Amino acid sequence: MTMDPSVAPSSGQAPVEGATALLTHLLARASRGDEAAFAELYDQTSARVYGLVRRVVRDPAQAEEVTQETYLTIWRESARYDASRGSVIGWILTIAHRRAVDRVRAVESARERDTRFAVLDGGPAFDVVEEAATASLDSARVRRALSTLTDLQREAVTLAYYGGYTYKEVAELLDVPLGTIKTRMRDGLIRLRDTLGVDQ
Amino acid sequence: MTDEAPDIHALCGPYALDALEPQERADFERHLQSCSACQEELQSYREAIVAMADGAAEAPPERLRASVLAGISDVRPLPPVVEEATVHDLAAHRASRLSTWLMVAAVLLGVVAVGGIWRAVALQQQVAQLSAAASDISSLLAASDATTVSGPATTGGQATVVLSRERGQAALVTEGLAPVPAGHVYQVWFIPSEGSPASAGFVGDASSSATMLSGDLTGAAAVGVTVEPSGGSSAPTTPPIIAIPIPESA
Repeated sequence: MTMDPSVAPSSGQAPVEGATALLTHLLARASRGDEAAFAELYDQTSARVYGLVRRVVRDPAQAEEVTQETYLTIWRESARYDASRGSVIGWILTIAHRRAVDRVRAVESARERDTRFAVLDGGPAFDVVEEAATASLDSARVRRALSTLTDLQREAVTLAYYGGYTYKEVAELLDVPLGTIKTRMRDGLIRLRDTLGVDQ
Repeated sequence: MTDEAPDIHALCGPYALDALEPQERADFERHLQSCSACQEELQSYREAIVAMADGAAEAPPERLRASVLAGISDVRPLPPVVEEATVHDLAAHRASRLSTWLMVAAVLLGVVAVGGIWRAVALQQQVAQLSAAASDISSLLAASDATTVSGPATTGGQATVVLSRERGQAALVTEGLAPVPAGHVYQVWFIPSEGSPASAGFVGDASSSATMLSGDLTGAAAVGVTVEPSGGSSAPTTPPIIAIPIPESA
C-alpha cells in the first residue's frame, strides 16, 4: 500500500524508543515503592490516560475518578507488568480503557441505556456521535489513518474504542449483522495496524 | 462449558477494542490462553491501539496529580506473581460506608482488583477484624485453595464468587446490584458444564450483600444469578444477569 511519508513509522522512532525505555525504567522503580518515580510516570502518561478515559466516559468528574483508579491499579500491579506482552504505555492504556468501558457500562442503568439507544437509533443522531468521537482527535496522524478505513470499519472501530460500546451495541446502532461488525472491527484494526503500527 | 464456538477467533477484534460483553470477554480470555494465533493477532494491534489513545490525549486537571499521588502513598505495591490467572477486573472499590458486608466486599474487591488467584493467608488479619457475621466467609477465605473470581452484572453492579473446592463451599458477594423488580428475587445457580443448573440460594438486592451458597459445588463450571418470581424457580426462567465462570480446581 502507499503510505503518506508523514505517517511513515520511521519518523520519530528514536524518541519513541527513548520514551519507552524511560517508562519501563520508571515503572520498575515504582514497583519497588519509589513514589517519585511513580510521580514522573504519572507526568509522562497522564494526558494520554485522562484523555482516553474522558473520551469514553465523557463526564469530567467520572473521568477523574477512573483515572485515579487506573493509577492506583498501575501502582499496585507495577511488579506484574510483563514486558513480553507489550510496552508500558500499552499496558497502562489497556488498563485505563478497560476501566473506562467498565465504568460506562456499570453506571448505565438499563433505562439510561434504553434512552441512549432511543436517541441514537434514529439515524441522524448517530453521525453526531461518531463525529464527536473522532473530530476532536488531536493527532492528525490518527485522523489520517482512520480516514483510510471504509466508513463501516471506521464507525465500528471508533464507536467501540472511543464510544465504549460493545460490538453488539455497535451492530444495533449501525443496523448491521453481528458477524459483519466483528469482521469490520478486525479489518479496521488490521488496516490501522498497517498504517500506524511502528513495529510492523 | 460447551465446546467453543467455531468463530471465537473472530472475537479478536472486538476484544482488542474492549467491545465484548463480560461473559464473552471471559470466554475469549480462556480461549486466548491456549491460542497462539489469537495472541499474536492481539499483539499485532497493540501499537495501533496505543496510537488511537494518543490521538485522544488531553491534559488532566492539575489537582488530579496530587490526588493520585496521595492515593498511592498508603498502598503497598504487590509482589510479582509467579502463576497467572484470569480474573475479571473490578472497578476500584471506594469504601464509604461501614456495614459488615461492605467491609467484606471492600476486602474482596480490593484484592480482586489487583487480579490473580490469591491465597487467603495475607487477608486473614483484615478479615479477622470484621464482625462475626462475616465469619463464614472469613472461614472460607482461610481455605488453602480459596479463590475469588469476579464479574459485572448486566444490569449494573459487581459480584465476586469466593470458593474452595477443597471444602466444597462457595459464597457470593455483590455490590451495587439494581433493585430486584417487585415480586421477584435474585436466585443463584451452580451451572455445570453439562446438565441443568442447580439452585444455590438467593441473594438480596441491598447495596452490598454476601451470601454463603447452598447446594453441591461439584461439577459447577459457573455461578449465575437470574431474576425469578418470589419463592424462586426450580430452573432459571430468565437470562442470567451475572454469570461468572469458576475454576474447575483451585
